[in-house]
Amino acid sequence: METSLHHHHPFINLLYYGCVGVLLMVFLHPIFLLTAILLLAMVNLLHGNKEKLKKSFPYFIFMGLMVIVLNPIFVRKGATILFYFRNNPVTLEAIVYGMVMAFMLISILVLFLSFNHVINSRKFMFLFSKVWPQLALLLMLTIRFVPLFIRRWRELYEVQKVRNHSISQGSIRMRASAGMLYMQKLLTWSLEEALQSAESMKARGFGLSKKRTAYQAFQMTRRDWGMVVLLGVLTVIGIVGAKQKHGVLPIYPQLGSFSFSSTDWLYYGVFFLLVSFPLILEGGEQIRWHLSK
Amino acid sequence: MAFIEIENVCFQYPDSTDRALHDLSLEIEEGEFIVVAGPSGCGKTTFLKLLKTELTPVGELSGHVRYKEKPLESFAEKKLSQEIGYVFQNPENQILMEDVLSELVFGLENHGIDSDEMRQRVAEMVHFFGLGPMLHADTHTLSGGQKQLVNLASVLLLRPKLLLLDEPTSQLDPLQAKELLQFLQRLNEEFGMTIILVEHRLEDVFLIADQILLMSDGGIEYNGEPKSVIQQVWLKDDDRFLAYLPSVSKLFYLIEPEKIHTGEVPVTVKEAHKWLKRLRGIDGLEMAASTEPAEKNAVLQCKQIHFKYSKEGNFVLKNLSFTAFEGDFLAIVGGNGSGKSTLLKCCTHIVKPIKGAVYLNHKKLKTYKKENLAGQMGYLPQNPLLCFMAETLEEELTNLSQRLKLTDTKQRIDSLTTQLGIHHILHKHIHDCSGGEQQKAALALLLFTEPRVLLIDEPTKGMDPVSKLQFANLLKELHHNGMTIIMVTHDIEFAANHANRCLLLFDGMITVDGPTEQVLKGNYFYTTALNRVTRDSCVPEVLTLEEACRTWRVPVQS
Amino acid sequence: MESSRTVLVTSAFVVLGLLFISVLLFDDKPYMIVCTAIMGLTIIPLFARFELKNIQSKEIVLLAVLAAIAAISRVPFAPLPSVQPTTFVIIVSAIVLGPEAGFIIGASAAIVSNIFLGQGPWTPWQMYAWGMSGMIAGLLRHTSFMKSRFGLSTYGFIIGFLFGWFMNLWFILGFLGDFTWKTFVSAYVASFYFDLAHALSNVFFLYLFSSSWIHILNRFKRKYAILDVA
Repeated sequence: METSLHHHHPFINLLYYGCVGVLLMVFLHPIFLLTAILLLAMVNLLHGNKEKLKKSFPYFIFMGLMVIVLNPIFVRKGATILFYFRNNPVTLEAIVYGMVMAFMLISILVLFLSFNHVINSRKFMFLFSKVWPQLALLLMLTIRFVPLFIRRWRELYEVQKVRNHSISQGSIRMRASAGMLYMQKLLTWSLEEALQSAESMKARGFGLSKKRTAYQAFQMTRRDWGMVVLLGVLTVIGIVGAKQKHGVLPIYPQLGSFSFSSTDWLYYGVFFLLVSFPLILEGGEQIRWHLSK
Repeated sequence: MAFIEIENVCFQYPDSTDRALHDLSLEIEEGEFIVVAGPSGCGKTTFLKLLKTELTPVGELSGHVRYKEKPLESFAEKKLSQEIGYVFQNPENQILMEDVLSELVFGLENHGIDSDEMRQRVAEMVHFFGLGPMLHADTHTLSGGQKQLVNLASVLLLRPKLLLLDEPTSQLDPLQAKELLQFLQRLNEEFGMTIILVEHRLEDVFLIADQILLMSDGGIEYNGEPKSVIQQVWLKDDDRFLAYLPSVSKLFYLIEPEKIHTGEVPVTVKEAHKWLKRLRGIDGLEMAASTEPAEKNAVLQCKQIHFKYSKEGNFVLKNLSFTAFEGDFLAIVGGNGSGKSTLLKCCTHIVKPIKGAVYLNHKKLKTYKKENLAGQMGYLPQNPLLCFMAETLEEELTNLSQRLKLTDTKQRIDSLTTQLGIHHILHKHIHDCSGGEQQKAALALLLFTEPRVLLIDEPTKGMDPVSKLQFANLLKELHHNGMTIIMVTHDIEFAANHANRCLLLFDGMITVDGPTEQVLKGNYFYTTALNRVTRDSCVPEVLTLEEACRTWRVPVQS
Repeated sequence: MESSRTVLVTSAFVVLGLLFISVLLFDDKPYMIVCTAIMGLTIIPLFARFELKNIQSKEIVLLAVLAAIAAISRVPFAPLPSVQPTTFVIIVSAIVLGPEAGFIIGASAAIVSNIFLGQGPWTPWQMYAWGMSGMIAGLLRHTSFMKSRFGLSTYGFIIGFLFGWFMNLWFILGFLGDFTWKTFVSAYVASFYFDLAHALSNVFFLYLFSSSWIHILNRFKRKYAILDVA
């Protein structure tokens, strides 16, 4: 489903993910990060990304658990020794640090889940072409070729199936060899056909002008610029706060208190506001829709 | 003061001994619609590319090409690139972008046109072609016809004065091809655009074209208004081009040979109707009903098969049954999306029916071992190159022989390639062979295992009429030697001329099944041009020219 | 060459920016800064160089075809764990077309395959790893070592391991606290079998198919009438 965030300029989309990503990495506090996981999961649900989320979440948890387990094994810092594992001390601090890192990893992965839904290849290319237009063009051609080649692969597979030249039976070695022969055929065939693609580029004037222009499929409005300022300010406040150790759980050398001071609450609010930005946008849209009726 | 003048142009490719074009001279006026035809390798494409300087191949060029009375080289590259547009044969290869809108503006971006102007031009063009609904679609989801329209629109956005098209309809089905041609006709008539179109299906363009060029071996053989070209070819009884003429015109000359010098000749069904109205005294001969052998052996049978691609999807084939008997030459015809290709996939065991079963020699397909099945059934896809995994025919045949554990490989290869007349391409890279050679080579692969039945998917797509005839003769010979052939096709004329049985597929079911003649004569749309002309007329109804020659008793005119 | 200067200046600023951000964010994790800086300093000039090139339509199409082939070649081998010919495709392309083409094809294949499989924090790491596998193969292509089938397969074997080790980095550096070299090594032991599978499949593909693929690519290099790309 397309949400309000989808309809905003790709730059706003990117900025949102970038800012949230940065704040996730600076606010190393389990409550901040758990809040973020919940909010970002809600953002994903809002996109209608439920299936993806359900499918990927076990993997995320698994990766998180790995971080929690590996940290105390590898890291020997920390004052509170809980027990010894193979003669190595396992500290409370390392376990808590592992948990914080696990939450950070999971929140980043959930963030990317939403990123992949909102920033489709077209927006991605739009952003990319702002920085490196020629490379973006190469990527666009590549993206266009992918479905074409997959279709060719399927055609080849079907015809060769009738010709008893299948890749779905035999030993791994045989299957890998057969698969490679298919790839080789696909390569020859596609390179042959692509000569015409190159001619088609040339026939429409590629390489004649020094400067290629770009069709502006997206335009920044004043409201968009307002959002840039808003997101930017929130992020800068967050970074400054985190640098002063607000919203960061003191872990090493000794675990500190989980409780929030009033300043911590302030930064929590800033963080909450930023992460829930797509939810707020969507809510605003709904309210405006109902008012206008 | 012609728009384009071509004077004594010769062209030779660097590594070739023959000239690709020799002594070509031609004048084209502004706003003319020129159609170019000829067998593959006759230099049509080279000719077009000489007019599009960016695409002009490397080689030795002599003579003059003048555009607006000045040599092409004297124009700025950028200007020429915009004023002369070029559309290629394959709709798929020309598309470079993921979505339709980016594809449309690709040329404009190359030419550095600013965004506002792009928007304006695109808006117009989308309106003209009715592309609105698919503007944001991914290009790979479009049909071949839609892709070709997008390609055409993308070229037109540069506002060309001259449009060159190299067989743009050859990969499209007849309906899509007609639609594209209608757009070209509108561009020519409503905007006065000069168009040079290379096209095989002349029947569809005789009315639109101002001038027809028939080329052979790098030279222009015939050049003139459509009707006069038809007349000249008939007069010279020119084998190279007779196959290009509309069947109604040929019928006209056959019935009234004395009219050849009057210059009048019907090319469309409408004109032929008028002519037949005043024709009197043709009777049909009493034909002895051909005696069908009473008991025939079923080779391939589909029994009540159902198929759909996904669990939620609709059934593509519903309760479909048919039988191909030994010695049948079966044509399966039907519109787009009627399930023709899916049926062929079921018959070749590429996909398995959900209900029902396919039988080969009275045994269910799934009971066959894979290598046995491959030996019994030959499947020729639309693109013959798909049959080849190796680089040369010999390598492929040897591999195949190993895979199927056959003996006397060498001997089989020799006799087969000699029979098909392709012994000389055994060691040639398969991509370097001509289209006809590739198709024969693929056929050699299929015949190598001596199958009982051949299944052919859309064999005539993109073929020029002469190659079509050659291919038909090859199939006829195989059929004559006892091969059972099942062919899926859009090409009604081809089916009418060569198949002995015809199935009409509609909505996943077989609606009619019978001898070709009977099935097609009962149809209103799905039939040949000649049938549409002769039905309900004062002459006996026929399907093909050959049938008319065989069954009509034409009174000798005084 | 005004545009070229802009690109270079922009790139330089981006590198500086990246460095600055990493110092700001990861002041207690020097490894991460060093890694990001090295990646940035390597990738950006190479991309910038490609950006400045006056590329022909045939060249860019050839690169796109190879990148697309490399990207989708992960699909048919999906049932076999850790076995994918992407690295193979990148290496043979680099051998035929040179180091820069190898880098561009590797990096593009990473971006494009992730557009379809999902971007994540691993994307830049994959870009770098595949890009470098191609670039190094391209740089070494005229040595007699790389010209022998044995040498090429050895290269594939080594790259298989280096690739895996490098890809472990983003996880280890990003999410584990500081550690000693001893633990660092033991972390790599854990991924040994996956890396071995990748290395062996590289050897398998390179040993059996490199000569025919190089032959095909050389044929098209002539047919497209181009020298080294990018």
